[in-house]
Amino acid sequence: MNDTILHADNLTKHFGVLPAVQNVSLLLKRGVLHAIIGPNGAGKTTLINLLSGELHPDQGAIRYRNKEITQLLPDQISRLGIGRSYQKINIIPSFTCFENCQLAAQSRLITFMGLFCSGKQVKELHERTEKALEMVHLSHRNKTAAATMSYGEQRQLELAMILATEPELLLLDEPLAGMGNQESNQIIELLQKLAKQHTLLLVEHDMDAVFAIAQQLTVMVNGKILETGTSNQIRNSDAVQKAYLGNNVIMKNEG
Amino acid sequence: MALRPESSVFPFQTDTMISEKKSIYFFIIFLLLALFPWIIEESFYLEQLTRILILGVFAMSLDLLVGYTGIVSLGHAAFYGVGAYTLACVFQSADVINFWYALPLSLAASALSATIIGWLSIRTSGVYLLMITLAFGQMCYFFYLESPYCNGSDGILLLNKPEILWGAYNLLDLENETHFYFFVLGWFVAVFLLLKRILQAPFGQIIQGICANESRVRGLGYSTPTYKLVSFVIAGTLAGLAGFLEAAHTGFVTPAYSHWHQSGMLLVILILGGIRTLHGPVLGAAAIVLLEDLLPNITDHWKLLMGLLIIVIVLFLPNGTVSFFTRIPTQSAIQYKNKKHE
Repeated sequence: MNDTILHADNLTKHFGVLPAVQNVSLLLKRGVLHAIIGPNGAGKTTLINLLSGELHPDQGAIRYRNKEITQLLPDQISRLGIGRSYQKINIIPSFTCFENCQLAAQSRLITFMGLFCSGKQVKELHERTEKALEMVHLSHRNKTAAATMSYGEQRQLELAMILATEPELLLLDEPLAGMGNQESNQIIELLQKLAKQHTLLLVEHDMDAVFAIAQQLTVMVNGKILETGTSNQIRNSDAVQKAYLGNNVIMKNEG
Repeated sequence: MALRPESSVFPFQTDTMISEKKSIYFFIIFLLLALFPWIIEESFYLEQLTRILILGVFAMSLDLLVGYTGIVSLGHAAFYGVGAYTLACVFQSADVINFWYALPLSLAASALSATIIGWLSIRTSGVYLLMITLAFGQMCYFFYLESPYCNGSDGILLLNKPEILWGAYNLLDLENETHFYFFVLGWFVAVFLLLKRILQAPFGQIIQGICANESRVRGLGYSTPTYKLVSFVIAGTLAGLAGFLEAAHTGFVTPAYSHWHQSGMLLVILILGGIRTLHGPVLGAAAIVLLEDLLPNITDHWKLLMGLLIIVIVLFLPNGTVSFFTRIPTQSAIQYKNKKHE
């Protein structure tokens, strides 16, 4: 089981009496692009929040690289090498694009809480920041205040911020939401590139994109896992077709 | 360095030209302050300026907390009181106050109290944070009022000034008000430069990130409560330094040092001067000290007049009096600049 990077076992989370996630188990393999799909309210974001430490499960356990991380806090989980993006844009609007990314990069580089910083550290910081911005094609927007960038660019910046922390596992919550065609093609290309070096867990609504790039798919409905498998297995699953994909996709599939 | 974003908040990336120009301004102001005793030889004004500088240190320390970290505290005067009372209680009957013991003791006491109060306070935010810091501030106030060691509302009179001895030689004669002025000016410049350095370092960027979006910063791997606590302790220790200087200056320490009026007035100073700049709070302190001096000459109801003036400043200079002199790159200004750029 050496290629298992993350193992969520029987996770359950209630909000009041409402079960948001029920007995969900998930196995992420190293280097595999795994996608979670499901209708709104299926519990996908709650699951990501459980994995990233933003929420703690009522039941169940999460193991990352054979280490129990169930009760760890978001900053501790981030330091272990799990980076996450958010469903809504979550950047620091008053900082420039570069500063946002630099803030992310320096979380791994500073000593003494960053009260003092050597010239060598500053140089390394700049290099890492630039590298991350280059990966998402945002180098030309360095000086721009993040608040004034377009929606798509802010999404790209979010990705750059995660990459600057050099994670091994990326949890991406709808990275394509609200993006134009060209922008989303760019992101899909980037995700494919990232998938070569990282393990990705993707929550996404864009079905075409998901089926095109994901190697493993998990379908969630009402807080439970309906089916897990490759894209072909999911396409051909009766349960999934009934519950989620609807007639359009079946027709498209047959066509 | 190749990259120096113009609209950057952090000087290690800013345009060197701008920061050099700024440094020259600050240098000229510090030079004028250093030459002040020779420019104006009236002791009244020297006294006023000493007060302004002490209040400036106090206000800058609160700005680190309120402006840069986003922790709005109504109990910052607690540490001012701790700094002052540590000096007064320990040395009230001493013949000689040895500066080398007195100051570290005051700073350690305020750092310790800031660690305890901060550790308990930073878990809350918003109105609850205001209330809990207010409660701690008032607790300190009533402690000084009721404690048998602190002489109640009469306060403690310090008969001697601290002596800065080097062997048998007294480096500065603090009984001499010009010497005392330089002593305070030295600390003022040191605190200013220290805070500037801290804010330029990654730590400054992290606390400003926490101020804007704490959950995001936490998600990047920073233990945000620890950063907030460190900021709280730095601010509390510097407030303790201001309290020490004020106690040494007036030679008289009363519970009013820690009353919430003091914390409230300090917040007014910040808003008046300009939050999120280091020179703004100093300007605010100067404005308050001068207004308190000038307005009573005009009318007996001078506090009314002062209130009106504060309202006018808040309405017409929402970024504080400092925005009258320098244009702070506000959000809208940055937006405008970017639009023009495109």
